[in-house]
Amino acid sequence: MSGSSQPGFIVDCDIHQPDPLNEEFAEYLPEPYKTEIATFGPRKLFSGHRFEDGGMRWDLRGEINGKVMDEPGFFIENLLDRYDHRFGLLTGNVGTISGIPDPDYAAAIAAGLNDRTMDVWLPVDDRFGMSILVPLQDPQAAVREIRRLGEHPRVKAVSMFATANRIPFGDRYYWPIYAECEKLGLPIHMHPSTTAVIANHAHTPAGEAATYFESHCTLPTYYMAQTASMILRGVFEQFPSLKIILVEGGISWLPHLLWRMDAEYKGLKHEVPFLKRLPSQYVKDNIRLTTQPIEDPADVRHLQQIMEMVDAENTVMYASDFPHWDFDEPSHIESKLGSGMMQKLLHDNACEYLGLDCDSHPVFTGTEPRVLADA
Amino acid sequence: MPEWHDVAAFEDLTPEKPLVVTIGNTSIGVKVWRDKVFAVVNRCGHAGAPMAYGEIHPTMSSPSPGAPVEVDYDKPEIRCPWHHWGFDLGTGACTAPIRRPRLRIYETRVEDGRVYILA
Ligand code: FES
Repeated sequence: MSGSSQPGFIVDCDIHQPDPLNEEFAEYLPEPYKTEIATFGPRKLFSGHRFEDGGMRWDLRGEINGKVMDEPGFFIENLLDRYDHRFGLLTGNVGTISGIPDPDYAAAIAAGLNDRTMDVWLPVDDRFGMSILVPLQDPQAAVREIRRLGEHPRVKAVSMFATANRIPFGDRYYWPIYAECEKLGLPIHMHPSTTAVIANHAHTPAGEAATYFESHCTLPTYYMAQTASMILRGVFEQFPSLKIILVEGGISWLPHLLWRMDAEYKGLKHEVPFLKRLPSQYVKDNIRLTTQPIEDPADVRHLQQIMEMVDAENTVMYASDFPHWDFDEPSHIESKLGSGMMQKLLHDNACEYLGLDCDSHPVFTGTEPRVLADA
Repeated sequence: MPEWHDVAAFEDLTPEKPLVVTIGNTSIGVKVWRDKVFAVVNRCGHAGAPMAYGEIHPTMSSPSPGAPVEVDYDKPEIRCPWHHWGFDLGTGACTAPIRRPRLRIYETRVEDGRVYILA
């Protein structure tokens, strides 16, 4: 448990606890998956790229103060305590089930990983909450998993993977999931995954990317397509209270999409006669974005202008992506965007959107770099 | 004060062929659709397209995704020839929920086979 009686300040929307090792993983699974995982490990569906050295920060390798990355204590010390977190959303290893073709396998693995996060991670620190995995391969099974766990007070979101699905997220195929999430007030946590090439037959709309670099830079194209799909197929007319969080897809692509959708709506609205508002209005009401990886233009004023265009003070929330290589600490966000919007961006927006119990209301007093050497 | 102007014979108007008339300094597009005559300013407030070449369509709406589309022939809109924005032929308002631009609409009447515009 957190030792402090004062709540921390940072609300972090994306923390990746690792999957368990095979033997422990198997304990959380029914047969035949128990034996399969114990014997062979999880099924793998990768993109054919070399991930940036496993995707982790190099300064977190090995033991730090006697703890390794597999344990909750490592995350508490090196993230929650170090940065004064009020809350951290555990989102798991995003590649484990996304894009895997077998829906029964995906459902069993999702449930096993959810149970294990509840058993091993949540009890250790009140500040942890979780986004549950659901098998997008079978929306009815996904609904069953949301019903099984969605009312747990520490479950704060439902994960969907923006890059790994054959069917775009506006499609009615997913609507049972949206109906359940809306009913329970659970946001959809939309994160990239590592399986884009197999699930979509290509990493990008232009075709296959040769490298992780090429694929990672074009992730925003998925977010543009998913956002347009959800808005223009009427997801938010059907589910007006549904909440979507776009994680790790960047932000700067959004003004273009908003302007283009609003402009073209005026000429093409007969194709979407069920929309009642300008497309950009649905973004304001139903969609939030997270900071990491914050864009890094040579002139920071350009980024600040874009933040103004997307009303970042009300639509953007902080995410660290700990312990991944492209982690952003809170002070990095403040250094880019200035301190004016940090109260909302590092705390208030996510408190409200994730439905956290935020009776006490800490006031932003500034951030500072807290790298490991300063421990 | 606006006055009624005799601009054309009704039988000369066809939906395919736009008629442009100039009254004072104003260019006005005259359109016939389902036996009704409409007159609008011949310049779109968005980017200046000649509205006389626009198309008139019924309003379409749907209460929710997947529900049947309702087609309202009593509430026509004229859609601009360039970017296809629609303007309500009753009010001149853009049929998308934006306040500007609006389209100036002129009152018309047909009498003894002649078309009149109040401008
Ligand atoms: S000029 Fe008329 S809609 Fe653009």
